[in-house]
Amino acid sequence: MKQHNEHIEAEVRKTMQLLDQMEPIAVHHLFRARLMERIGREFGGEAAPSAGGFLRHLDLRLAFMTVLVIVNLGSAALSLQEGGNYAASAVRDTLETASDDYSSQEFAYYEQTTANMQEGLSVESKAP
Amino acid sequence: MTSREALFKSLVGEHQEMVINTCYRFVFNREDAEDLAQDVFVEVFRSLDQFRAEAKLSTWIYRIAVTKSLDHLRRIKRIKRFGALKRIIGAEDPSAEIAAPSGDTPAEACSGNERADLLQKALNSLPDNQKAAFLLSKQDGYSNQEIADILKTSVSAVESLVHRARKNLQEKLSLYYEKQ
Repeated sequence: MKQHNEHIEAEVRKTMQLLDQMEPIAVHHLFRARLMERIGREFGGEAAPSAGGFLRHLDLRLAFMTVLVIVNLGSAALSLQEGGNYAASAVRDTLETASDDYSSQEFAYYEQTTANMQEGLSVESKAP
Repeated sequence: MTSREALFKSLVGEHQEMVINTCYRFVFNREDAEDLAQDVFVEVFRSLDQFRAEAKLSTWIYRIAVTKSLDHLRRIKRIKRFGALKRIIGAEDPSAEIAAPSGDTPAEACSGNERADLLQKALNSLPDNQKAAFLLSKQDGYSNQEIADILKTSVSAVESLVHRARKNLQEKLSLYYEKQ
């Protein structure tokens, strides 16, 4: 019986000793290269994952929105400038028209008078 | 190269050996250990921004290694249970046809498959905290204080866990050899 117990103890000891006899393994020379490849594949190069990735996307969106705002502002400024020129020329035309001699009250009267005179002549010529 | 990448590369260079060997203690297989170590460093890269200097960086990395290794063992256990269940209900288990990873385990090199398998089974039947404390205590490079930091417990608790793990292992192995 004692011998049997001793045998069991010896077997247990031998099995437990396996852990102490485990030699540390050397790192495979490609381990780091494979790891960096996987990191590149999963995170797209040096992209910052998780919160960083979110911030990066947010940055891109902000940049895009800024570009859109600049383009909008630019086109608005251009159209304002063009519209301003048009308005100025319209005002100028109106002013010119208003200050034109031929459009004055006197000219209107003259025209009317002339028309009346012509009308009178024609009446006279029609008369026997 | 960004400062983040440079920091990460230096971390890998500094801790890869310890991480791989820690995983190796848990899984008894070189390939699995390297795969797990890769997972560990991917997790480190992902969470580097979230690391708070409450613990040492090395402790944080080794804690990830322990967690990943325990997860791996749990996953294997689940697969085995599922396979057993399938056998009971008569369904075919496709994983049964896949050859188990052969060779390259230290125990095989030392004493053959049977003893190594037996030890692994006995270790896997231990509670996670006992298993982790015991396996880390068997690895060079970890002090009891560091194990305590990794497991977020006290040094006396680690000593107690290691003691109980050894006792449990001896009992389980004795029981096995008595039946032989």
